[in-house]
Amino acid sequence: MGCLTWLFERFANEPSRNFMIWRDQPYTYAWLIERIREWETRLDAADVAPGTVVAIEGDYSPQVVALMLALIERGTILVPLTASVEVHKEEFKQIAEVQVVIAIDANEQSSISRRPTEVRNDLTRKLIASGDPGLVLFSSGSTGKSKAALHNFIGLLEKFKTPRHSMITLTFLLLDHIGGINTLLYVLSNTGCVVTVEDRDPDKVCAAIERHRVEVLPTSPTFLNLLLISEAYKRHDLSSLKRVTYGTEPMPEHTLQRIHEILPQAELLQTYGLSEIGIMRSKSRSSNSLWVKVGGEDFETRIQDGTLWIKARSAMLGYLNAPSPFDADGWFNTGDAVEVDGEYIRILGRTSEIINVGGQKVYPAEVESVLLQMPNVRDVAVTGEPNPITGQIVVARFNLFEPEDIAQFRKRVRDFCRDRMAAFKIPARILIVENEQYSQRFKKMRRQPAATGGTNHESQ
Amino acid sequence: MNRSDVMDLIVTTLQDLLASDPARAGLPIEEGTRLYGPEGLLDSLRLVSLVLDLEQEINDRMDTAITIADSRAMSQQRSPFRSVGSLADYIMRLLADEQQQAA
Repeated sequence: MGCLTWLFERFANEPSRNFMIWRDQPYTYAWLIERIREWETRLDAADVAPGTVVAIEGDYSPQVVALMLALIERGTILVPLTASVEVHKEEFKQIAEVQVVIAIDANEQSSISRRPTEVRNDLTRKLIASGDPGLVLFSSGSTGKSKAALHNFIGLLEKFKTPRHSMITLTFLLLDHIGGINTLLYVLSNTGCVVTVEDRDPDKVCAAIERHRVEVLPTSPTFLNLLLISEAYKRHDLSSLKRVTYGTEPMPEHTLQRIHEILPQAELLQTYGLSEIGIMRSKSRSSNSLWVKVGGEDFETRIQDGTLWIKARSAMLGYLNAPSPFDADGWFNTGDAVEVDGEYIRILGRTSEIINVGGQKVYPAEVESVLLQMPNVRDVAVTGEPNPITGQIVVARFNLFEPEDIAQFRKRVRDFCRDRMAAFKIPARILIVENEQYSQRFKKMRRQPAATGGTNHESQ
Repeated sequence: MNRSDVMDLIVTTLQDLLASDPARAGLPIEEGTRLYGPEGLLDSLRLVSLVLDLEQEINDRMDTAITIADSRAMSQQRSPFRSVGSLADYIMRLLADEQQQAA
């Protein structure tokens, strides 16, 4: 026992410091230590033994953090599930072979329930036998099926033993995301403070930054675009920000330049991480540069055919429901196309066809299968298209049986999709085409010279 | 298209987009109506849809190839997406620029 002893000692040295601001209320490290002890008693009483696979249902809150730490210390296998994956929860529990579910609701009330499940997966069994705590994160697969990455938590914790700056950090990355876990561990290991916000509305985020003098903002290019469009930065004092980090999708150059202009005092840093390998330490060439050096003591990188490969000490043990993606020497193909300049790289985007809308992934096949259920739809092809606000948008090109007015049809598509998929998956651009879509690779047809327009009519 | 045509188009496109949103459908839409930000009518995804729908409709009617949301729009000191009126002004500027280039 005691893989978190070093961390709890740091907490004990700073009892009066706040570890979290939640719903504008502060919670101290002394409070956290007490709650962790309480959870230990409760977990004993509920017979949650080391090696149990435990799902935590709940979003960022002081109790969820206390529970997570108690479960890591106990040597269980954690499966964080937030409201954002609601529709997949049952599927995820089955894949991870969850045995105990601990749900914490919006009022911090908790309940513990058991599922009659025996762990059969070899990777999980090996981890349990070692006695180390584990973490299961769900990541994107190219076919639309989520892949479950199993980590040994000890490997993820290692890099946080080196003390770094203690900062007030705002977060809206969730705890079932490698970035959310990374931010939390960084802050706690340096007895800093996490400021949480209830949604990503730019004005609410900026108000929280001003009120709590937030120093670090880990975010995404899409949020930064929305910050510019909303002009929320003009209504709030953001001078406390010392560092803004961004990841999860490629950053548009013009967004970076504008953010640098409005936040001249802040260092702008790109981060790079994947559920499979953890988050690497990275260093941008400068605040207005998209060139970045990635790596750190525990990572090796190489470029092969323009694609980034990584070998990491904090890499996952493997997928629970897919073949190992590592080659014989332990290298992982990130699928990210990059440009190289000396020791710096620039990330160009995914080599696969996954569409990235504001950092959230959309699988064309999944959207197409819903759209094909619509009356009067004969065929449909879904692709991504660059967009300056959300990075990419979802485009759907339809073949219809009977002609329809495009404005009416657009409305019909959006009405049909509303209850059947998450808002970010609903096609933003809806086109009716007359040609067969066997190649599925029409990009921006309407920008083609008029001379070729005769063969491919796109009603818009 | 003159400015009042553009305004009309923005209003009808917005009404279509908001028809499914019981909290916002039927709200008056005027020059000063905020699009995005505090008291804005739209969330980010609907804003993207509005811009694309307008772009397609205008290019269809006018046989133009304007792009409303691009790096130029994102680099403006004042966001063209603040209000219905500022968006109409920005579209008029894009149409004027395109005409000039064609001439």
